[in-house]
Amino acid sequence: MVDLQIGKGRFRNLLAYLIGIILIFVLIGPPAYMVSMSLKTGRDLFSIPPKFIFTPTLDNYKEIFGSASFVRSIYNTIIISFTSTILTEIIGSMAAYSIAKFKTGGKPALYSVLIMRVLPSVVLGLPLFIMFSRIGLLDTLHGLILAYIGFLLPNTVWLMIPFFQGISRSIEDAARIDGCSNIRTFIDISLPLSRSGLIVTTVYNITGAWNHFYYALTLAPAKTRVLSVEASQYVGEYAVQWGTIAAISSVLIIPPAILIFFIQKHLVSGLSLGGVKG
Amino acid sequence: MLERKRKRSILEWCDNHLGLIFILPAMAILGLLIIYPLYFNINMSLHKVNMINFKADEWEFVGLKNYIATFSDKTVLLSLLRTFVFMIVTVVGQVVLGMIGALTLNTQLKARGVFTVGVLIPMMMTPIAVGLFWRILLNRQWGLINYFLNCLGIESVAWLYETSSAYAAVCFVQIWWGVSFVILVLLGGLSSLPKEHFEAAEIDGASKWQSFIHITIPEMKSVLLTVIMLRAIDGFREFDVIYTLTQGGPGEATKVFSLHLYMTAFETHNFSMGAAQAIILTVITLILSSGLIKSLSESEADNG
Repeated sequence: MVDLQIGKGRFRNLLAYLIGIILIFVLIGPPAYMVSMSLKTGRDLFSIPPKFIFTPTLDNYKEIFGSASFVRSIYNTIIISFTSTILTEIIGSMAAYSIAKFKTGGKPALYSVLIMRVLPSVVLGLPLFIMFSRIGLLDTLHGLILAYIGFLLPNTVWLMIPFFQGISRSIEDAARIDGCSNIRTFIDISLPLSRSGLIVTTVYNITGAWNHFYYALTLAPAKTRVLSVEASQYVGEYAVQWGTIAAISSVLIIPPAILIFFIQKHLVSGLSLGGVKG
Repeated sequence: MLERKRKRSILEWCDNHLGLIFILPAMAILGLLIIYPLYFNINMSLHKVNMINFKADEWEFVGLKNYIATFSDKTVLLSLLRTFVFMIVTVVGQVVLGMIGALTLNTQLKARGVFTVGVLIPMMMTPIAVGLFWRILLNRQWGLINYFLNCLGIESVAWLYETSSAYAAVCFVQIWWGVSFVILVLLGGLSSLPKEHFEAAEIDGASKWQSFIHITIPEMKSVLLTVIMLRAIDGFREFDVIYTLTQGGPGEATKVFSLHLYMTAFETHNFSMGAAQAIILTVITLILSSGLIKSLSESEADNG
């Protein structure tokens, strides 16, 4: 590791710690404060100076989980995130393997994956809206799952390619000589060896689908509302219900945070191997 | 017997053409959900499509009229300008602060792991939640930010309700949200730098600052370029955070191009105009990402 500290001796370590602590305070402070707000009610929410010590209550959570549309939106979000992730992993790792090992499409295939990966969903939301409304996919779970696969897939292929390329040729050749078919080699050798790539992309896809907003807002705004759309509705309607808003935001951010915490080691190696995530 | 043989040869054929078979599902999905919608979008932008006729089989062809109307609309040009400024300000902010953060974390701190996890969390946070809680924190009367400002003797600001402060606030929140990604990527780049260069520089009597300018920056060129490109593309198309923070307001102060597109298409239901704006956004994104492709293929060439 490169030693690039600022300042000298003990002082520079102190300075690094100081910057580190400020960084954590600035980055973690706001969401942590919001989680604490979700445990406050009534006067505690609006006291000046803000109360950092208070009696926590689950009233806000009871309220949101008592709302049928909220529970429905959680259900929708979970179904959509998991289904689209599983399908994307299968289709995506197959395509990545094809591009990495059989050089299908050559360089142009690589570049088109990259281009599709940077295309904003703000661009595709409109034509998908018209297309879906013509074939009756608007505001349905199927339609939204399909749309989500569309935006998760290019990133998954892009991140999986280097993992398959990283498998040494000789291991796969050995399997071939032992009489393994291509498909057996893929399932028994290549997939298990790219385990950490699969873990990283799965986490990206679940959090990506969980966090996604634009397709959900435009393609499923009523019956099939997901959590992020449900949450965004609270801004206009209940602008003063801070406790409720804080509880909903907490429900939105806590699952990805837990997921990230458990797989952070894989994640850092995935970032350096798979280039960078958009 | 013959039946089994045929079955076997089909299986064998499939296995020999596995590369082709493996890529077909992805091609079908991407063709259906990206390529065809793009074509559909271009088609829409050349016709007159609105709430009344969008399900019809034929649309009235208007040529480039939608594009001309878009570019002669002052609100569109203003929102494009707003978006470019937003992109530049937030990218510079994220890269400068991200570099400071990465240099700090790239030391032999005992608590490095704790810091890294802390940095990771905002990156994965739902943009809608980010918008929601910054809305609360930036509240004029009860927000935490104004409370801290008051403690320092500065008067409260109605952050999201005044033209210039609302623009500054959306830039700030975008930087806050994106900086952790930049820190992580730069940290990855920093920890793979060759140590010998720095030792040699130190023996030659170079200061930390000099070795930062003459070794770190040049060595990190491709990583820096990549991260700048990615954040620029993300900044240019940013929608979620601004939508929840201000919905483009007050007035049109924070109405960036993606919000303008959304409102044209889904609030005024002028689909063909929205389609033209979507194509403009696509072209700008492609121009921005051509830089990314170039820097990636260069780094690939470097790696041999």
